[in-house]
Amino acid sequence: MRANPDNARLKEYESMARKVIEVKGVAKYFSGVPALKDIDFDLEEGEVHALMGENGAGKSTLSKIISGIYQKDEGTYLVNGEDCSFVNTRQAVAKGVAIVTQEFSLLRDLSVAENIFITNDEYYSAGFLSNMKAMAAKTTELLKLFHMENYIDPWEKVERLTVAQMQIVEIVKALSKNARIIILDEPTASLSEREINVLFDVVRSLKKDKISFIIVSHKINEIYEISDRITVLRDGRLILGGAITSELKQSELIRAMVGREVSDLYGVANFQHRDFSDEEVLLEVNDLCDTWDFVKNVSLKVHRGEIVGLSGLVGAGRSQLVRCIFGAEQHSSGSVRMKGRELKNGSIYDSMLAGIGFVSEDRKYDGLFQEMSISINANIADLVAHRGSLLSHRKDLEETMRMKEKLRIKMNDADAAVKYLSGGNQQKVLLAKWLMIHPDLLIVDEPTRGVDIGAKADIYQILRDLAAEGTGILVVSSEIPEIMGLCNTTLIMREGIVTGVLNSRELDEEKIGYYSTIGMQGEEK
Amino acid sequence: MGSSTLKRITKNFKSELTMLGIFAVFFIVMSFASPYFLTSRNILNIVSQVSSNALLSIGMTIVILTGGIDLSVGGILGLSGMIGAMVINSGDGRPVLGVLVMLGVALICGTFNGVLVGYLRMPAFIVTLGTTNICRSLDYVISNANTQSGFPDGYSFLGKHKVFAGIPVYVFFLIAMFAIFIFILSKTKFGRFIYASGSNLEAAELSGINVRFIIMMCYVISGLMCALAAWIMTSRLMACDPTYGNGAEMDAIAAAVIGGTSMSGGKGTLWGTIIGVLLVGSLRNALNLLGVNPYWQGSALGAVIILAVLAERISALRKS
Repeated sequence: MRANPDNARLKEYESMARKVIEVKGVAKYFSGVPALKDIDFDLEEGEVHALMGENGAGKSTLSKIISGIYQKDEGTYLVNGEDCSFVNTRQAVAKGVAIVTQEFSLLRDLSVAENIFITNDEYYSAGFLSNMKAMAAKTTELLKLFHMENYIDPWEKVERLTVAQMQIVEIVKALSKNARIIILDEPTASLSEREINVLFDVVRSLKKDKISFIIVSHKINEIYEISDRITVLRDGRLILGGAITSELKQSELIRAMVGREVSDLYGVANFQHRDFSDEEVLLEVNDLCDTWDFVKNVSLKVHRGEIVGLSGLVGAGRSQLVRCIFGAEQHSSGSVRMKGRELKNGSIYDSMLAGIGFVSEDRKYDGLFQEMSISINANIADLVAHRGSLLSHRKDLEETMRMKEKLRIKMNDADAAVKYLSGGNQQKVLLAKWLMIHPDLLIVDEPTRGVDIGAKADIYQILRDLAAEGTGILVVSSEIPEIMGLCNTTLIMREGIVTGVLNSRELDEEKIGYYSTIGMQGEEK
Repeated sequence: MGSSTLKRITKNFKSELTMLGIFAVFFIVMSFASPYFLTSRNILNIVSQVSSNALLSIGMTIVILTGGIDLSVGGILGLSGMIGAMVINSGDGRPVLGVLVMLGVALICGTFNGVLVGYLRMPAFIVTLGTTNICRSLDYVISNANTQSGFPDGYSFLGKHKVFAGIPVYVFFLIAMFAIFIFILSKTKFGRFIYASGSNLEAAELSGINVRFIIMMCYVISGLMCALAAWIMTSRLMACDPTYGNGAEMDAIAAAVIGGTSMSGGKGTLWGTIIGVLLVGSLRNALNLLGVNPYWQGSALGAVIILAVLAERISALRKS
């Protein structure tokens, strides 16, 4: 018998895994700023490919381009070898690509089956969802694919489901539309250990049916458990492309995720190491737990003139911790002392009187009164804490001008609404608001989020100057170079506990990466 | 100095000045359309018609500034007025006690609203809707739907006594109340906290403002304004009917909104509300003078409300 060369080639082709997604040289710009540049990425049939990186690395942007939420500005994107530029998620779903985001698209008041088939014409008659029984039966059939038929009832209302169950319903919904490629964006963010296992079982059994997954995540141990390959992005660039998980060392992965050239913007090169243990203790937190269990038995101290950093990944409980310290959230046990005096639980006013200022993470949401004037915004905290019951427009203006000079705020009119300022100047107004009460301790949550580089450098200088004048500073930051350039002592948190405490000499990026993902101080070796 | 102050006023009171312009044009047109319109007698007539709405609008504006709403003002006016009137009629020489009782009843109702909205964070719309129904119903139960009248002559002092150029006492009382609350809103810490709470509740809380207390106090003030309105009304008419104040919340909301107070909170002034109150009152009066079928009044008022909000919307859109 003569060998058929076509057959041989076909066999060879089949032995190579088929690429269902190929991304080449993709770039994406947001108002001229590149969020992604020169990205190559591919997904093989039936594999789980992890997309990793720090917050802001571009992994969500890439997954949104693949699923049709965003459109690429440069490069090519092939699905099953076919050039695709999806304008929306509907088009992507039609080609078998579906995304499950952290914000579920489920309708809470409807049943599981109704949610799955709500956009499916087969189950309508005369415009009404009609065939409930058929929908429920089909749902059960789909759930049986991965043995979940006893775990989720098709008639149950979605609002009664757990987050993990909702996630599975989203996956079933994607499958009902014949999705072959499913993107899971931070799927385990709010799942318990047991639920994560259930979800991963679903992923594994669907893999056998040649369904491919992209999992966006920054949790290292989970990714090792579930993924076949790993791609790492950092600052919108490709750092590690499709490395095989079983051949990749954890340390290499951590370095790829967090390591970067630290420019002197952050002042790392000129950092002065100093020991603060002889200075007066300003803030002393003992065994603090919050009522939501986001913060577990945290203790820390801030000395006069010391800058203490809180590092870790988003969701590690850092913001919750500082909100507890400031009294914006109640604590369930433990104590917060300022200069020896125990602060009232959950009283912001008491914290302010004790000399604590608090620059919150999201200036639009709970930092500034966007519609009100710069002067009113800058003076409001001092008004609350120290001034009499009558307002003085002149005093407001004088104080605002003093802060304008001190913090180099670019503004023309102190009576103009604060929303017209740039992000950096708004952040400075927020700082001014708290500097006006002359705090002994300033808590700053993400001090430079959404500000330009010039203002960033200014803000670092302001914080250093304050510390030099004897103010204690507690900084929450997700930017590692920021922590390294500012902090005398750094606490690293993960899942509500402090996993490491490092002074400025011991601090490096890999340690931060290690403690914020898997490590625990005192347990290594 | 003078020109910069002027500039600040024109900038900060833009919507108020626009409404003042519209009001002025309306006034001029009306004075040509009807020779009776611009007589002192008619002006006083307008003022007497708007007197209770003026007081309710003060409270309403303050509540709306926090981002809330008070639908219970009509009900509280009715209930506090009725209980007060019955106290006055319960024996000889009790007008003072009657007024104190009015204030007391309104204080209880306002505090009830305030605690539920401010401390328990219940939706203001629903809470005050409930309160107004309860108050109106109690009003009928207590009065057995009978009108109270025959108050001692001295009780008419506020509503009928004329002190200066034929102007009744309550007009000065209204001016004083506006002056006090304009001062509170623009010159005191409490006033600034009201604006701050309405502008951004989360930011206000994080600035150390006791937003629950501030919000509660606004409903208390609104309640007390209802009692004062009831006082003026009963003193002017020397009677109290259980239907007093029915639907009054709508005119109060209209006055505040026409005056430029933003329903989402944090924006508006009592200067604007004064214009709103006068515009609502003189519009009604003008339609009467022109002999327009009274059934058309609602259409005219509704159109003015929608146009006022539309003007606001257009200027906001143009800015962005």
